Amino acid sequence: MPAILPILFGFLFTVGVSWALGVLLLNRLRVFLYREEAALFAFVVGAALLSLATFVLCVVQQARPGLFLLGGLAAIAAAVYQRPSQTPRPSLPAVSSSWMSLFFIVFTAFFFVYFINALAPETSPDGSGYHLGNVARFRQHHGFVWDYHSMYSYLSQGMEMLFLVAFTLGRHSAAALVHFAFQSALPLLIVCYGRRFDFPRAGVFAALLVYACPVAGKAGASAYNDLAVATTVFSVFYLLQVWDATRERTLLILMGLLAGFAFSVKYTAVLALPFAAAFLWWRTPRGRRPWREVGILVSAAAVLMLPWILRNWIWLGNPLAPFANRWFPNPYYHEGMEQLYLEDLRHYEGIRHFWQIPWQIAVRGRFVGGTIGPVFLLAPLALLALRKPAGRRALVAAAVFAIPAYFNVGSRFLIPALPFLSLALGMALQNLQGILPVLALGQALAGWPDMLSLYSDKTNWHLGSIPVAAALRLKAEPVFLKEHLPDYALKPALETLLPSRAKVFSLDTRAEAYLNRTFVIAYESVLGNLGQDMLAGPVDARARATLHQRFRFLPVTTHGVRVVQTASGQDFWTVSEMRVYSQGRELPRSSPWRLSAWPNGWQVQLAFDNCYATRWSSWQALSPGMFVEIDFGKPEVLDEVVLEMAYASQAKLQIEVLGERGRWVPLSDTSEIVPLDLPAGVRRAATRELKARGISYLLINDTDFLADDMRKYATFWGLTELTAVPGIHLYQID
Amino acid sequence: MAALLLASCGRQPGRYPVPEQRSLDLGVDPGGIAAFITMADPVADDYIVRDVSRERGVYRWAFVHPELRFRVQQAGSVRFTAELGVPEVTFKVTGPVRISYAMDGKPLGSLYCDHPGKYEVAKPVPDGWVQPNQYIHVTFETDRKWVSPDDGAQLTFLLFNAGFTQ
Repeated sequence: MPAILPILFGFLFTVGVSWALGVLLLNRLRVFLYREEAALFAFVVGAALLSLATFVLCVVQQARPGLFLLGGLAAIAAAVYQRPSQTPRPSLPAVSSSWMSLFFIVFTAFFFVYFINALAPETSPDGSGYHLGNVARFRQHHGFVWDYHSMYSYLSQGMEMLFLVAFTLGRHSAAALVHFAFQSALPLLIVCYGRRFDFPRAGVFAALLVYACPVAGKAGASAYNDLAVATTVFSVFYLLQVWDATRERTLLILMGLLAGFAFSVKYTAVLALPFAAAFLWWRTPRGRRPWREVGILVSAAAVLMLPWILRNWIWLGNPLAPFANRWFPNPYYHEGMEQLYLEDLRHYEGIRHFWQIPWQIAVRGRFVGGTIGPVFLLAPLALLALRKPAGRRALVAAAVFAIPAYFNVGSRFLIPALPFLSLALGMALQNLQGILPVLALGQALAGWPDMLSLYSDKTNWHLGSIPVAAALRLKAEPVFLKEHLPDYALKPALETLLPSRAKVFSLDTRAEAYLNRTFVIAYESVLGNLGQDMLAGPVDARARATLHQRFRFLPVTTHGVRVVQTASGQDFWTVSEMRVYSQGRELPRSSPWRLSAWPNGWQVQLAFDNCYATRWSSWQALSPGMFVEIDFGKPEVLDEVVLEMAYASQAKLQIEVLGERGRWVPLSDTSEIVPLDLPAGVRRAATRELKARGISYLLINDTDFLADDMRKYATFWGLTELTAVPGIHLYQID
Repeated sequence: MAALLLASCGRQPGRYPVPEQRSLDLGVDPGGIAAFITMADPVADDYIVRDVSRERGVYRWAFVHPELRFRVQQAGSVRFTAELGVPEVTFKVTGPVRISYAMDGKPLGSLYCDHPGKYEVAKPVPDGWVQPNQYIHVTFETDRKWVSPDDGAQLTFLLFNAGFTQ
């Protein structure tokens, strides 16, 4: 039991400081809110402020436990000190006791389930992977780690900033519990909303529908951010309705901060800001333009949004990293990989007909990563709420905040829309006697962990149990982690056999939050892409040079030559080596030469390093104008250019030389292609190149495409197996 | 803000000097190009550099300048062998054919085919011509060729197998 005390302290301290900061802000702004509302909004908006403060500490590398404790206690003390001087806030209109009884019975039961799961050691894929992996790195370095590159470290990390405070004091479970706090605040906010705007039964119904939603339950009890997004977005909507009724200008500051916080928690929640701005515009009387109101909203939002945008802009040259690489090319993440990643998220794997989607999302959950509950099959009935203004507003919000689900088919991405959809459904059905309690109980029953396994797919992402012993640490944490995270068994070997600064390459994501070493994951960064490309070459002919493409022309004297690609297509263009000849002899590559390429000019040297384990790649789909270029620095006579490359059926290449007037002159697009005599030892070359880039270890799953070859020919690769656990091998590059 | 961001347009890669040149002498790989190949082998295409037909079978047609490649693990006492054929249908037109063969451009020997049928080549390779694990390119030339009256295809002989033995 004493083991959970630091966890609970880290969790309660983070929530307490958030609440305290929120109380201070609400008092400062003198916003009129009911007592119940004020307590909840204080937590949510205070969390935004704590997140911002932690961001600042991370920038200056001062995210230390002492500062967290000192600053947090000061905030709590100030809030407590101010409290008696404040006028007591009135309470919201009451709800009937039967409805409140129903709410508290279901809420308490699920609160217990979620609390125990969040308190148990964190084992969710993304939570134990990059969410808390990043947080563990921040804790170790007392701030952002500027020389660590992964697409996941470029995302806005507003929630990770809160996790960092909790994690520093109570480790992984404390962070997960902070997300659980948002999860539990959301139904309470929905109930408050119903009570304030005179549809309390619909409010309680919607709150229960959302709280008992299986995928929200799983995500909320994990170190994710979806429930923080949903709570923050709903808070923005709620305050908009309050503003519409009261026209209190200070509410705009709260809304702006929350809209900005939503973006800082997850990029997709950026929709909260245009939604709020559009609402202000729409609800301002005709003939008057609400520039001032929108200005206040946007300015307040910018306080929470700009830090992340500026961080990425200064750090990576791309304010929207890891996206928008087409407009902001940079050496850290390839545009083509971004496109493949987004395409993968957009694609329903395994679904043949669109009509399967609602069933999958509501009931089965196999292909969509979780279910939202069978009651949501009644969602079309929510359209009946169009008859009422409040219903129309809820439905519009549901439609807007469901937009990200179009781009990411995981049912998690529907969570921010569920409060609005549930409210609309509640409003549509609230006059049918007894129907709402029956549906709410049905959702609660269907969302209970033991029930889910009866009707949903066995691979459905959901809470499968109530692990009390693990939560209370009556079952040892390492034992529980070994049962749920295969990687965890490697922890002793990784942390004893590998030096502390070792880099480990892996094709798959790892439980980085628990493994204190740096991982280079194949798809997450430019270095990861390069590592995968190098290791794929020896076992996959498509990933290595197999052809010798020779362009011959009459001797020409020039300062520069380039190969230009003129076709469009889906393939990437790659060049392992580019060589230039004169009278059958290769021109030696010399120091005056200057090399360039477009796109991905940062890696052009890979086409001139005399190594067949590496290659330059466009890392984006073929488009006219791509080139690889040599500036000789002096006039050279040449009559032949050779490209050694993989087969690229879609590419069309031509040779151009630099004319006397500095213009590129096309010379030849006719070539001869013969097989390339690839030198022996390409496996060893691949690992040698990895090692030259600081990667000395490989973590290979048995299911990886190169696993069999590596096991069979470890000596040809120059690898020594350090250890293995079922399904995973740890190799050292000799 | 938007204008400011768009004006930045990411980072420009610039121009780079020639990097350190890597050694290509890294040892061996399992599998890959070996010392001998029969045309029925599923990986025979990997041994063909040019001018040998690509359809799979126990033999393939050689065109005007056929070229194959091989890799020998150990040098010393190496013999070049091949089975070639001159079919009756082309022999009727071309008459006797002389097929000469060379290694990496150095003439190794020739074969006089004075009747239709199958021929075998077995020629010792002079010391120093073969380096372990290095590619060897074998080319063939003929003094006569058969030109198809239908499509103009130029055929020389049939190739059954070729390579180096010790």
